[in-house]
Amino acid sequence: MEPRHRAAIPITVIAMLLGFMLTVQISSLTGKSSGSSTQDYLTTLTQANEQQQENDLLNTQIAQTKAQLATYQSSGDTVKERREALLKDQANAEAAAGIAPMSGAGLVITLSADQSLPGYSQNIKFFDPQIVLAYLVNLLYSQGAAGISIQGAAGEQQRLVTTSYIRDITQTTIGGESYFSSVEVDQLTIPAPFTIRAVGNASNMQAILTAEDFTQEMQNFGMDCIVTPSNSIKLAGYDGVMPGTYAKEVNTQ
Amino acid sequence: MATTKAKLASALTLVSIVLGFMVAVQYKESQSHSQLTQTYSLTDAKLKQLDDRLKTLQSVGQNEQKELAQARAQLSAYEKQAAGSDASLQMLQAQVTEDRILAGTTEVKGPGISITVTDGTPPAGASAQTIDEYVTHDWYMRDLINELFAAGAEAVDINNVRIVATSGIFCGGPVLWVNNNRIAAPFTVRAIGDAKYLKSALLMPGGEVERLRTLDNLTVSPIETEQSITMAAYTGTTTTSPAGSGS
Repeated sequence: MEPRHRAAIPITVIAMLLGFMLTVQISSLTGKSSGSSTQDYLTTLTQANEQQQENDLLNTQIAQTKAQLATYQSSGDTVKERREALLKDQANAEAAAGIAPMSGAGLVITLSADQSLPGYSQNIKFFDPQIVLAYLVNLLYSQGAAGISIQGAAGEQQRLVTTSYIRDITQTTIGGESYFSSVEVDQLTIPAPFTIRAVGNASNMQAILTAEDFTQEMQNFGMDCIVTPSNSIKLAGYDGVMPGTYAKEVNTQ
Repeated sequence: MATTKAKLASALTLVSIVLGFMVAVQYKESQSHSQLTQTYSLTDAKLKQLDDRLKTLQSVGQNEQKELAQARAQLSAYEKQAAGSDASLQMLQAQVTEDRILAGTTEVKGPGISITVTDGTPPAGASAQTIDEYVTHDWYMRDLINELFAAGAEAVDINNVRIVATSGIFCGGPVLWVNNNRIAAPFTVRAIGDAKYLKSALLMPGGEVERLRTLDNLTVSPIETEQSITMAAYTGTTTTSPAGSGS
């Protein structure tokens, strides 16, 4: 009998320890499912913050529209008064569309081929202004640029609007190397060097260019890139083709 | 007998040491796990409270969308009223409408096309780098939209988010951000314009659709011609004019 009792004790202890471990393991699994409710909480919190932001933007738009309505409601019936109300409405619509000129603080970015840069002879042929300008414009808008224009060598400036596009068109050979040196922006030919003007928060826009190492990337192509903040940038208004042939305003009233 | 006892004792001792070690590791791991989740110690009540807040915000948002649509419709009616039968005022009113369509701040309707782009199917067992080559990146959408506007599109949206001048399109992990809206694949791009022209521009040899399918490895639907596409207005911030202030 005695040896059996003696063996039973350590076996019991081992069994208790195994049970304890099993308990700890099960309770940590329960902890993992509370981790998934953490995920639900974070997802819901993100959605709530995004919805709040959207509601704030909607409120701003409602206030602006009601202010325009008030213009009409307070105007008289004469042709002159009705014209004035319509002109005020048009001023807002043109500002929103990019048809009105714009001025303010922002950044001026110039891109020009530089044969003295080490990357020029090998990489200039890979410089694609359509891709680079579209990428640059996207970066600037991400930092709240309110208006952007692209200017070419001959001084022509094209303001970017909703329907704007950028396409490579012609190549130039400099120093034995060919690269796309002209783009078409909204049916306007814009030859390099390119000057991009952006009205908005200069330090935010500069920060994203630094974060993306934009200047260095351009130099690797053999393109000199100069970024200059300015307090007085002037953007021309858009004067190209207007939509309305196919897209018609929906009247819900 | 003594040898058997000694062997048994040694075995039990060894097992106990190993068990003791495992218990200690297990306990320490569960302690550090509970420290990690401590910050987010959640109850069902908290989650429900947040969920209720989200539903309230969504309901408020829907009401505000309706209010904005009503205000814009009223504005359009006032404009027509102001124009009356005067030809020059009618022309002015038409210009205001065109400006709004260009700005994207009004709901529009018209014929056009739609096309859906989604991630491609990488080969089985592909590396992470290869899988990335089959993902719909932000620049593919920007290129497609650029091509549509170059082909004369007058209005474009992506997953019902209207594209305007200041729209940025960015990758945000598994989703794209457009005008501060998160959208997920598949990405349906619609364009209002001359459907025949838009379609042929995208389908030309070496064109955008061919590039997306063959070079970018994406899955691209056939282009659908639509008789009538309705696009919601952009509801983000826009530039206003001091000359246009209401008061």
